[in-house]
Amino acid sequence: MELNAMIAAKRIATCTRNVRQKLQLNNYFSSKVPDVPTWVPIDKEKLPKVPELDEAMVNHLERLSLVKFNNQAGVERLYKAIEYANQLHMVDTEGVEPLDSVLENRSVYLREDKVTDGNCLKDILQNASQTVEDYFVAPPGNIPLKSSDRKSLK
Amino acid sequence: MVSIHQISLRRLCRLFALVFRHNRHCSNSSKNRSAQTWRSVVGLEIHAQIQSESKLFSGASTKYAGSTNTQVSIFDAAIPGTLPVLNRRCIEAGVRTAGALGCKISQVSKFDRKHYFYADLPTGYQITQQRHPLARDGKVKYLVYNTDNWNKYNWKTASIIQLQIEQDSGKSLHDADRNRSLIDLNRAGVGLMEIVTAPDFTDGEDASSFVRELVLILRRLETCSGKMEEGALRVDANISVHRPGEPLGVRTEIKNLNSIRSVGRAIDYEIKRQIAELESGREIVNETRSFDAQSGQTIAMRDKEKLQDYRFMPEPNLLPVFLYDSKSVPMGVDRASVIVIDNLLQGLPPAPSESYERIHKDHKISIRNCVILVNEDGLLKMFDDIIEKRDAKALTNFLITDFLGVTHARNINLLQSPVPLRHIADLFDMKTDRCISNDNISQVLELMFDFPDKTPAEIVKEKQLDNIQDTEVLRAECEKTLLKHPDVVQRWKVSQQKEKKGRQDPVIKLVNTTMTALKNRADPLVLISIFEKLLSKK
Amino acid sequence: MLSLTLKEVVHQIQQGKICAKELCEKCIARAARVKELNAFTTETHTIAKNQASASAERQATLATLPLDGVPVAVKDNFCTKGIRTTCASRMLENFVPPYNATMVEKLLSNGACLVGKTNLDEFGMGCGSIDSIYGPVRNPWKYHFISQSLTEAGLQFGGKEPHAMTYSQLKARGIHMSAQSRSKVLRQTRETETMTADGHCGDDWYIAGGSSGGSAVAVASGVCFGALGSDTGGSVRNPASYCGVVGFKPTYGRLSRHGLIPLVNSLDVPGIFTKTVDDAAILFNHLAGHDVNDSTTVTDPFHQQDLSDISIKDLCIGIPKEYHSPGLSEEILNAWKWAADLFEKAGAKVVPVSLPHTQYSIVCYSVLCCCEVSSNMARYDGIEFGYRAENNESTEELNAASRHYGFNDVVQGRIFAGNYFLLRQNYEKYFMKAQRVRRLISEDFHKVYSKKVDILLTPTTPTEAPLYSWFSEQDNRTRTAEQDVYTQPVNMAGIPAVNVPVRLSKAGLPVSLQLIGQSFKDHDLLTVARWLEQQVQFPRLDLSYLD
Repeated sequence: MELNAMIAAKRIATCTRNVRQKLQLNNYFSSKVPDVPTWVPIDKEKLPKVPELDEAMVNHLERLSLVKFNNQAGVERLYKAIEYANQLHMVDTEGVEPLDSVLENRSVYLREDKVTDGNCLKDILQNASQTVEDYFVAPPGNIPLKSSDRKSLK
Repeated sequence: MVSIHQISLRRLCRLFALVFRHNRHCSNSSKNRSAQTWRSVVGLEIHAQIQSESKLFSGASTKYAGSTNTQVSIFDAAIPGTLPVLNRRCIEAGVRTAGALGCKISQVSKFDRKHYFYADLPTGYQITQQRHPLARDGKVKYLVYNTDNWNKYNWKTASIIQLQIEQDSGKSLHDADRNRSLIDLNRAGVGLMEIVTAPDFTDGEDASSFVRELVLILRRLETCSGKMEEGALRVDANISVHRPGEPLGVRTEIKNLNSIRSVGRAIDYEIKRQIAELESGREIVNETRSFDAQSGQTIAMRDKEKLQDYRFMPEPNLLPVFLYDSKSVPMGVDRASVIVIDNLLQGLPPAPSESYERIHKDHKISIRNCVILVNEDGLLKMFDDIIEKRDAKALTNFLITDFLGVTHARNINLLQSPVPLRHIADLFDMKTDRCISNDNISQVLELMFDFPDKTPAEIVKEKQLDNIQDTEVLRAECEKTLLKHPDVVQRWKVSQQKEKKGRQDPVIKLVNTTMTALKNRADPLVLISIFEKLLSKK
Repeated sequence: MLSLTLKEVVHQIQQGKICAKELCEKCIARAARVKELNAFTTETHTIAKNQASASAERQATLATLPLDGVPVAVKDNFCTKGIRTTCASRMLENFVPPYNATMVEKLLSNGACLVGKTNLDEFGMGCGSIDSIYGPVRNPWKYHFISQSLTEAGLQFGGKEPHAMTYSQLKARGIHMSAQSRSKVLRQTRETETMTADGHCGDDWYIAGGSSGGSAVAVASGVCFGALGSDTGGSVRNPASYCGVVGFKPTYGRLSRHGLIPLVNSLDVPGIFTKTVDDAAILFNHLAGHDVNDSTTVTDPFHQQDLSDISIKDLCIGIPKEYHSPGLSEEILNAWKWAADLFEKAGAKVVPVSLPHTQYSIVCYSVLCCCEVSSNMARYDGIEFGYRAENNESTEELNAASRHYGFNDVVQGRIFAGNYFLLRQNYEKYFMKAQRVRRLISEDFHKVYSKKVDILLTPTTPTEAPLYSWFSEQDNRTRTAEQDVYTQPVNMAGIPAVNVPVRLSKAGLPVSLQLIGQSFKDHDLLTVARWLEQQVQFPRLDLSYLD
């Protein structure tokens, strides 16, 4: 009886040592890192559809951006960006306030009302391609961009 | 209603003339009878430059008419990598103004970016407050008056929707010859208070009266100079018309009205224009227009098809402005680093409307004089300091006519007057006691300005400007005058016979002549009574 | 000398064992050897030498400054007075700022020597440092330098240095090689004889990561001892991970952004590249603090602190399960597990935690980034500075033409998307939605930290450094979505994080991990990072064979 108990204890000890050695061979003591990816796949059917980017919209964005789309690739890029952004709708944000800044609970820094800047005409003008007698130069304004021909993207 | 047959032709003509004139003055006027049924609705957005040494988000100077681009910091020029730093004084000015306008001051106020491209806006966006303005919901009582007809005045109250702090833009000068714009950024970044009113106004007179009142309020607070001629205060007006019972019409915006007169004229023109358009069957387009002061007309400014979307976005480089009252300042916060509004709202000067009401009621001063007293810097205080138990109306007249006459002639601000208050009071008393004639008052005043250390009594004695009291001397002089002007005596006799009440004219002439001879050292009333006695003997 | 750490260099200069001028010369020589890595947009060797001379003079008088004589590099989106600052864009190709960024000012006023401005993705948009008008930055790890190849091929050039030349450049200069030498060079540099547009003969190499790739490479290749980058979504930690250096992003609000040309103002933080965590702490000590010119720096007093040893047993390390995303390579996963076990074996409490909104962070970032970009780029109209086109018809036409030429496709694309999201009808749906999601992401972290977790341990990038050929198959947005997945959420919450290289992969490339800390507990974070660094003993890159 005693011998049986001794053999059993020895077997358990060996077993435990083997397991420990095996684990050590694998370099893992006990890992909390998940073995498989944990992301939830997004059902694209649940996402809102990207609205048509018609010529009116494209022209409108061009005028607001003052950059020309230039080609179909640009419109497609925008389409994909919107499609990608639509994934946000999978998140429930009911009752959640928007976050402007991580420092939102701090009060803004206030400066005393003293003249400490300015009088640096040279610095201000040095990077301007065109100047006339200390002024910056611009062409006449308020003439809207010419819209280019394009087909809409469905 | 009086029937036509009962009135004389002459009176009829007068009646028509009155109506004619009334219609011309009336802002909802038109020769069409149907025009009388239109209602006009006007709202204002006033941009007032904050009176501070430095700009809203940078330390560059705000002085007017500085040399081109010398009052521009790297932040104002939108050099990449630069960030805004808020000027405490601008928020304080906003709080005091909001208090004076009866607004509720927000506990938390935030800044936003308003995007549009324009050469005088180097960053491509203006930092303003769209979501959480500094203050909301105020009320301003103001006096609407007409300088052509002082009997036509009334009190109104305008609602203020909000007051927000934002940046001013730079200036572009259009060089038409070379087809280009020249940009000066001195003004870019100067702090502005934008005051948005409810559409409570009906016409140009109403709106311009409000603006006048607002300028006064701001000047009293010293939060804005109100100098519209320098661009320190500009007005945008939103105008629409509709028939009573129908919904509000499409509105147009008139931008950059830079004088009180322009405010009135532009609004009145635009109302007329809109009515004319609608009556012709055309529609009003929601557009921006500018006012041409020379022609007195409003002109379409921006491209009508361009739909402006400002794409507001929170300004990420500025943390919220927390405004506390003394009880709510959190523990451990250094008071010097936050805004505590109690201190700012203490000791706010009274509103102009309060001043008008007070002196009009308490002292029975006419509205016209109330307006002058209140609108002239320092004059009301002078009045309040001198009045004590003196005659208010007489004092008002003295200050407005005599005293202001001298300061205007010398082109100096009343506040710069070197004359001590005590002396002015003394002079007024001398006038009241009829020790000195009105004609000599101005001479004494001039001397008081030139020699402010001398009292009026001293000056009068020195220059011998006091009225001669000895009636014998006066009588002798009067008799001399009578002898010199027998023709006038004759005229008097004639007028007496005709029993007309024209006796004053010849007597006045005699009095004037005598006054001149006496070097104005007499009381005309006394002379009149002497002459009357002398003439009655003739 | 160049394999010393910053801490050692500072110490030895102060002891007089190293001369600042000599050190500077050595760094400049190394820069020439590794020029083909294209880490710099502007070299400021003369300035560096002058600064080194000044340091040497100060050494003589014993009035030394804390960073005297230490060669540093600065990402080319920090304004440097009188030195061109381009953001790797045509728009600012000739822009010379009239002022120094606060970070630059602090480095210089502490005696550091500026070796150059480093290359980046245009305006900081990208995670590979390949979208630059100056060409891509190359990772020095497993890079076959032409100079090495040529030396091995036994070529001499009569005293002229061949180091900086590729095969195509040699060919263009008419340098003749024997067929044998030529094929040897081509083999070793893995070039082909087909010319490509950028003149690099279709060779392949590992990317440096981005957008601060140039700064990471400058430190990894031994050209300098510390470099500044900017981190918006991982732009410091990502290239640090690929280049096997320490990349530290402090808490938002600790370092001043005055002079840092912004990408996303509410996420940007100046970041620090160094060889060791101690070095990062030294630089951090001298850079942190309130700046009156930046209202988003906190007024809380900052105390310089030396890192000390800690008792790991008192620590609780969190392992966020969502950081095992699809795309995490086995190498990185195993390293992550290994490091977790290191902590646990040493007695720390290691617990699995959850940051449930992690997978949406990158989407949220894409919206917020585009919106801020469209706003921040609005100032580039060619009038006050920047590229100005010839078109004078109207301001609008001039602006559009300048911007079209000045910005690359990536920047233009983000401007359009941003303006779309900010339209009145879309503002609530996209921008505000993204802001709400941002709050959820930020709260995820705060909730975890409130439950007694001290530090989080995660991968920095899903893989080791990818090959350029693979990386350039997809567009910028797709790659950012893949590569910035673990680094991005940290910026959302404004908390500090640091990249620590831990070991080499089977392919011999650096494998790194990220430690994430709590707001304003930067020193605590660095202390733990230092401990990890001491455990792993990462074999740093040594390019002294090139000298």
